[in-house]
Amino acid sequence: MKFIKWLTNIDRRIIFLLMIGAVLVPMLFTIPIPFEVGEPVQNAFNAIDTLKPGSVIMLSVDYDATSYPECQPMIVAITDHAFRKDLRIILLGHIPTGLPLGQEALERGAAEYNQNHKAEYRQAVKHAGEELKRHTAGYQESLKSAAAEFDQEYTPRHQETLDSLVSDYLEKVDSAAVKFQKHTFEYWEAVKYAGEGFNRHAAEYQKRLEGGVREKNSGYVRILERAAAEYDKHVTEYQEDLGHAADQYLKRYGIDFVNLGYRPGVVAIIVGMGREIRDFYHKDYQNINVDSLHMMADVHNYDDIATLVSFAHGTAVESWVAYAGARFGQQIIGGVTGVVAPDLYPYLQSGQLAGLLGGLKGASEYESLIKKKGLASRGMPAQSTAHILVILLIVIGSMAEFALDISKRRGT
Amino acid sequence: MKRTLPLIITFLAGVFVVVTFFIPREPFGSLEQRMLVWASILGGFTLLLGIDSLIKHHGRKLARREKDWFYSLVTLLGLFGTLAAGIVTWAKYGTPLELASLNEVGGFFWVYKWVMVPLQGTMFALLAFFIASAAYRAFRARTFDATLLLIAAILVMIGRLSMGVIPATLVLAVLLVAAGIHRLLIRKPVFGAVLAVAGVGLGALVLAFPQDAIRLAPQVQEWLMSVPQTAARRGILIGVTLGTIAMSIRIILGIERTYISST
Repeated sequence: MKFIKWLTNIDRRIIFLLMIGAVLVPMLFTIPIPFEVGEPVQNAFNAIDTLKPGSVIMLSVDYDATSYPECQPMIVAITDHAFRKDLRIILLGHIPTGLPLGQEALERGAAEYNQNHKAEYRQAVKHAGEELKRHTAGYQESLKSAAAEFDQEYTPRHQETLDSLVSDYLEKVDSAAVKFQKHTFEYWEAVKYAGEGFNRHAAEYQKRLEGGVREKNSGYVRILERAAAEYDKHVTEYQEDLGHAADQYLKRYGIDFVNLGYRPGVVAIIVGMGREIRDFYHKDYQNINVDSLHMMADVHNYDDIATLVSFAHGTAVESWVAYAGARFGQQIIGGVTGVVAPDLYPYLQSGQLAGLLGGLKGASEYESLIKKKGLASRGMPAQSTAHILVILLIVIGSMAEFALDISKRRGT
Repeated sequence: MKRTLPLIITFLAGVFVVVTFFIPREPFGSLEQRMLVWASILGGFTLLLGIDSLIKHHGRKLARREKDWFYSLVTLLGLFGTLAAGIVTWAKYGTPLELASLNEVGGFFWVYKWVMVPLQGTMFALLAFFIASAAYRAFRARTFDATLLLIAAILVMIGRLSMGVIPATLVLAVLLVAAGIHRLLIRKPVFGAVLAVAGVGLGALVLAFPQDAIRLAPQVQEWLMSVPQTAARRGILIGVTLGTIAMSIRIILGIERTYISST
């Protein structure tokens, strides 16, 4: 009987010790665990996975370090997924002490992505350079041929040929710029510089060409060749610039992701952004003008944001649903702690939430969907053993209570 | 006048916000936006008020050497220390939020990463211990309602396990059988029999079809969350929302005045 009484009132210090063991022991071993993905997480994954490359998603950091173990794996996993899908990310938040955690997730995600794609990127840049070189060779041939023809007779047709070559070149450079600008800002700058340089050079060439018309002598061809050689030098410089660009990371701040920082006034901000983001965030977290950030050029309000994900340990998701979702039709996904998740099921069922990641389990399910074992998957065994311990304690306490009750009734 | 003016301002602001919400056309749209910007600016000033209040409260405690004054000292040191770290980083990099300060002792992000994050994390981690202890003491299947609550809670916990579903479910089955026997012994035969049979059935099914049990556990949890839990939650939500609307109308019309004064 003494033992049963003890079971109904185990010293809390013993419970604390058991909890330490339950959390620590699974961390010492790697336990492979298969995950069943729940519908809310699957829906969240699908909502992001089906977005077109280049779409903008907004991540709202509405938690701080107290919820790091549950919410950080979520933002890490979704950032990773977004970068893989070539989505652009806007980070902001309603808890100032949580925002650096979001920034950390983005920086790490970008660095990892860049590392994984460095070789691929170098190959693409090399290919672009080869294309440009081939085009340049063709262009030089055309120049020489034009010069040879011109030596006999200059007509407006030659002028047109030259104009067409120049515009063709610029078009290709522009196209290359569009293709690569999202990868590195430097590359885009390099291409732009090369384009401007060539344009200047082409104008000079035309001037010399016209000078050649007046001279009508054999020195004209020499002038053309010198112009071509100069152009060749310029192309070499351009290729060197490309090489420098290739050394840069692929996912860059301002091009692929931005951090708008913290502004006070949760509801005012959420509603106000429906009209213009710049009314509240005219500068980013480092005081850089938002208009100078490349990826923000075409982003003004919720119409330009495909999906919003709020990572929260409080009522922030409900605010997003009530003001951004209900009023502006913004698609919203919640990434919340296990305690908050039950509050959001009504919104999930009504379709006001496109998906929901609840607690460490939700984060680990998302990790399994993107096929990346991260913080959540590593933390799940410890959480599971802690849950089992709690279940055991509850059952032991209840069974001891039953025994005590029966013995009291029998008067023993 | 001291009370009337705030009531008039509240009435006008309240009506204006409601009107602009439902009429997005100009000039209401831009006026609403302007008011939202004002609200955000006012929100910024509340932070200043908070800091002022914090300094006054703890400064007074410290000056008078009141009980637990040492904690006030730590609070103020934390506040001004973080401020100093921010100013130093700002002076060095032109912004206090320079990530490079993460690796500099005393830098703003260094303080954030190595002081604030661990402190907050530690505080929250303590919950695991208190929850375990509290659950053990409070969750007892003493009554019918408590037993139902307990079964639902354990099923939800089992559904969120990534391992150990079978032993945890067997433990639940044992609890059901024990609760059933207890009810039978205290002469509550119907409920006792139901619980005992449910426990034996659950145990037998789990042992006979362990893989199906592992597969079904998250689905049972999902059903509990999305059907009974959501039904109750939705009822509460509707009640809270109606209450909020009623309270807002009372405040706008000046019926509810407690926000002006505590008396």
